[in-house]
Amino acid sequence: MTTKLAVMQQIIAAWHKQDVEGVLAHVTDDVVWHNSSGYAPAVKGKAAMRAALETMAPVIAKSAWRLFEAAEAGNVLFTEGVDEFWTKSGAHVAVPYIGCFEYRGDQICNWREYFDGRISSEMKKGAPLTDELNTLISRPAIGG
Amino acid sequence: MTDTFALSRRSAMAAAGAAGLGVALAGSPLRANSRFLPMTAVMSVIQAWNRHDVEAVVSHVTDDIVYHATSGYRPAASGKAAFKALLQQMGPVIQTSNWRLFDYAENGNRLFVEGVDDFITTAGHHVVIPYAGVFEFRGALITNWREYYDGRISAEMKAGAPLTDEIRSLINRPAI
Repeated sequence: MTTKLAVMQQIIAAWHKQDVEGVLAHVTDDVVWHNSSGYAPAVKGKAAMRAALETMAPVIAKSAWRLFEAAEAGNVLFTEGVDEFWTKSGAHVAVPYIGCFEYRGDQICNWREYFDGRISSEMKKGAPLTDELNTLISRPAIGG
Repeated sequence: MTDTFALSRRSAMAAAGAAGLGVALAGSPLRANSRFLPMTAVMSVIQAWNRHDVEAVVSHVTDDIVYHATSGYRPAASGKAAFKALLQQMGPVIQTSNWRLFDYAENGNRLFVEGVDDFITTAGHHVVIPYAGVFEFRGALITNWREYYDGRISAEMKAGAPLTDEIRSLINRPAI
């Protein structure tokens, strides 16, 4: 596993434990987090990212965020995966996505995620896992 | 919505042309290999679509192609016949397009791309959809094609929503 992918897996492992600081240890102070495919403004700076993660974490009962594919070019890591989680209110959410991560050294300075936010919002309200979503996420995860 | 998106993507890619890509690949490790280049195949697909040559596009995919065109929001087009039918449904909705890529990376038989589907509709709306995609190849043919973006951006901009600062920040990058 490459350094960039290993860092990414450490971030995922931290998020599984709802360890916000464990996630933030891998981003630069000036990180820009485009977490909505461009639909809403980006989160800018580590402090703002901490605030966003601290808002998200308490909603999640269990996370199964995982990756299926990855590729690198220069300082950029592409990943394809699923943000799958169960909310404390009992909803099952599975959002397939591609992430593009720009690294400065071993830390991420620009984090861009592409997915359809309607999947997240509708599944949080109880929409079921569709056959299409099941197809996209029923693949072996990399890195365990 | 989805159909229009795919149409504009291909049209714009063709407009961008293969010459620029050749420059981008010249310094790439990919260039050092004499083997098949996935990015070149993708460019051929785009150029075919620019000629409105559906058969040529279809010639680049396997019989069992699966085209996930909506980030998982709606069912995929499965099989060459369905893929071809989807292409044939796509109408001339796009007036001008400026689809372009900002980055790409390859791993084995997979090619990741990041870019923007940027076009003007025949109704006069400017639509700008940042996206990422992955192509899986079997030999020289695309066998699985997956695109990720937020379909609300497409729908709302086609209805006249303006270009936002966030979208502008994602697309104001050098194209390859």
